[in-house]
Amino acid sequence: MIAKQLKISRGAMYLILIVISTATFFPFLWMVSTAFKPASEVFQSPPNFIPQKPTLSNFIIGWNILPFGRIFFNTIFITVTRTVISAFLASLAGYAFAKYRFWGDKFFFLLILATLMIPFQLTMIPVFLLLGKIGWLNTYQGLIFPGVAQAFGVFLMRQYFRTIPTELIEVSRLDGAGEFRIFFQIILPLAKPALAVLAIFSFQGSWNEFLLPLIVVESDWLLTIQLGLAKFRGELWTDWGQLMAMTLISIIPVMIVFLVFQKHFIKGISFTGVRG
Amino acid sequence: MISAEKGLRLFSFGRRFNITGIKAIPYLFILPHMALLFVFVLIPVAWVLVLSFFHWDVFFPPQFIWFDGFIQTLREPLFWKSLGTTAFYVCGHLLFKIPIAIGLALLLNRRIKGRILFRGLIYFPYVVSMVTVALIWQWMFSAEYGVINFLLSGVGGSYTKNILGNPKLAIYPIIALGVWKNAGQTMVIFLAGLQGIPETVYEAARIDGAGPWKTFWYITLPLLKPITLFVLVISTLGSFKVFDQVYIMTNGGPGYATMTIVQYIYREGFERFNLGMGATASCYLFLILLSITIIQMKFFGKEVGYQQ
Repeated sequence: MIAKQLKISRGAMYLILIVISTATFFPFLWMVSTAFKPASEVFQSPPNFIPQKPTLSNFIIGWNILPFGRIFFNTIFITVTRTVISAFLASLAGYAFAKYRFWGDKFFFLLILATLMIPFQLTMIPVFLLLGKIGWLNTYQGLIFPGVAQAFGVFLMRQYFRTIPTELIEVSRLDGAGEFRIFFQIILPLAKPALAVLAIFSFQGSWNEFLLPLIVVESDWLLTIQLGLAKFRGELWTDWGQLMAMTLISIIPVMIVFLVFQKHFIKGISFTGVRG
Repeated sequence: MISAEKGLRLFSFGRRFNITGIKAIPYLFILPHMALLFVFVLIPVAWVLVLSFFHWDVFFPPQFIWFDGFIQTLREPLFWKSLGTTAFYVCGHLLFKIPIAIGLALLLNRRIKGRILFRGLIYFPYVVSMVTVALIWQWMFSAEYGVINFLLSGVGGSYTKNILGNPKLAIYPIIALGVWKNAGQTMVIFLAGLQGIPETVYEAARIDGAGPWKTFWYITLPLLKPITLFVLVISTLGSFKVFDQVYIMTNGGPGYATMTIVQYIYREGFERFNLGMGATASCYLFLILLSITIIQMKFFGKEVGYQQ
C-alpha cells in the first residue's frame, strides 16, 4: 500500500526484494557451496564462492563419522510418534473445550493457556530429575513425552472445532451415535486442515529440538540430528566441509515439508497468531 | 421392527443424556492431555519452586535453607552479568527485528509476481533449526576462512579478526542471527495484520489528502498496534529464552561475555550440579518474564486498535 503511494517503480521494487531475499538466503548457499568443496578449498583464504573441484567426499566421510543412519532413524521415529500423539491429544481436548460445557472447563482451559508462560527452559532441571526418577533418561520415551502436551495445539483445535456447527453433532446424537464415535467418525475427519497445520508445527518443533535431547541423551545410539550436528564439531578443530554436508542433509526433510506445505505454515500463523 | 428400532433409539437417547454419562465424557476427552501436562509441566513447576529453597549439589542430601538461595543468587556477579547480556540481546533483537519485519511486510503486501517466492525465501530461516543456522553462521564467522571476514575486507581495511572470539563483539553476530532467523515469521504476522485493514480506510485518507508517510504514520501504524503488541510480547518471551545459538556459536564465551540467563541455569544445573541454585535462577527468570508481559499488556493494551 505504502509502496504504491510512494510510486516506487516496479523495477526498483523487484531489485530491493531480490537483494533482500538473496542476502537472506545467502547462508544456505554458502552451506551448499562448502558441502561440495574438497578440504583444500574449504580451508582456503580468500574463499571461492563456487567449488572449483566439486566432490561428494564430505557426504560420504561425514556420514560415517557419527552413526548418522541411526541418528536419522531416531529423529524420524521421535518426530513422528510425538507429532501423532500430540495432535491426537490436542484434538480430544480441543473438542471438549469447543463443544461441551462442564464443571471447571474455563479453569482447565486457562490452566493450559497459562503453561504458555512456562517454557521448557524454566523447568528443565526438575524435568531432568523426574525423568531420572522414572528411569526415562536416555530413552525414546524421555525424548517423546515431555514435549507432547502443547498448549498451542489445544488452542488451535478448539478454535477450529468451534467453527463446526453444533447441529451436526446433535443430529448424529439423534441418529444414535455415541460421543466417541461422533468424534472419531464425524468430527476428526472434518478437522484435517487444522490437523495439518498442527502436524507441521509439531514436526518442525520436534525435528529442530535441541535442549531436551541435550539433557536426556547420554549415548550415541540415541543421538538426534540436532545433537549429532552439535557433537560433530571437534574440541579444537572442525572439518567444516563435512559438517556443512551433514547440515545440508539435515535440512532436506524440513525443506520438503516446507515446500509442500508452505500455505499451511502461513495459514497457521494467521490462524492462531492474530485471531487470538 | 420399527417399534424395536424406535425403542432402541429412545433407549440410547436416554442413556446419552443420562446425567452421569454426559458429565464424564468431556473429562475423558481432556484427561490424556491434562495428565501429561500435570506430569511434565505442573509437577516440574512446583518442583522448581521447592528446589529453590534447598541447597542441593547432588553429592550431599538436600538442605532446606529458606531464602538463602534467592539472596545468594542475587550476590552472584555472573547471574547479573548473564541477565545483562540477555537484556542486551532482547533489546537488540526487538529493536531491529520489528521495524525490519514491518518494512518487509509493507513491501510484500503488494500483489506482485513472485510474491510467494520472496516470502518463502525470507521465511525459510525460521523453519530450519537454530542449531543448523548457528553452525552455518559460526562457519561464516570463522576467523581465518570465514566468508564474513572476506566480505568485510572487501569493504575496507584488514578485517581478518576473530569476531566471535572478541568479548566486546561476540554478542553482535548472535543478535544478528536471531533477527535474521525470526524476521520472516514476524513479517508474516504483520502481513496478516495489513491484510486485515480495509481498503476504504486508505481511500478515505487519500481523499483527505494524506501523503504516503502521513498515511503510514497516522493510519497504518496505529491500526497495526494490537498486532505489534502481540509480536512484542511473544518476541520478548521468545528472545529471553535464547540458548541454542549461544551454546553453538560461543558457548557463553569468550570468558562469560555472551552467557545468557538460560545458559546460566544450564551451567548451574548440569555442569556445576548446583540444582538448588539453578532452580532459584529459574524462579527469577519466571518472575522477570511474568512482569515484562504484564507491563507490556498494561502499557499497550489500553489503546484499542481498529475494529470493524
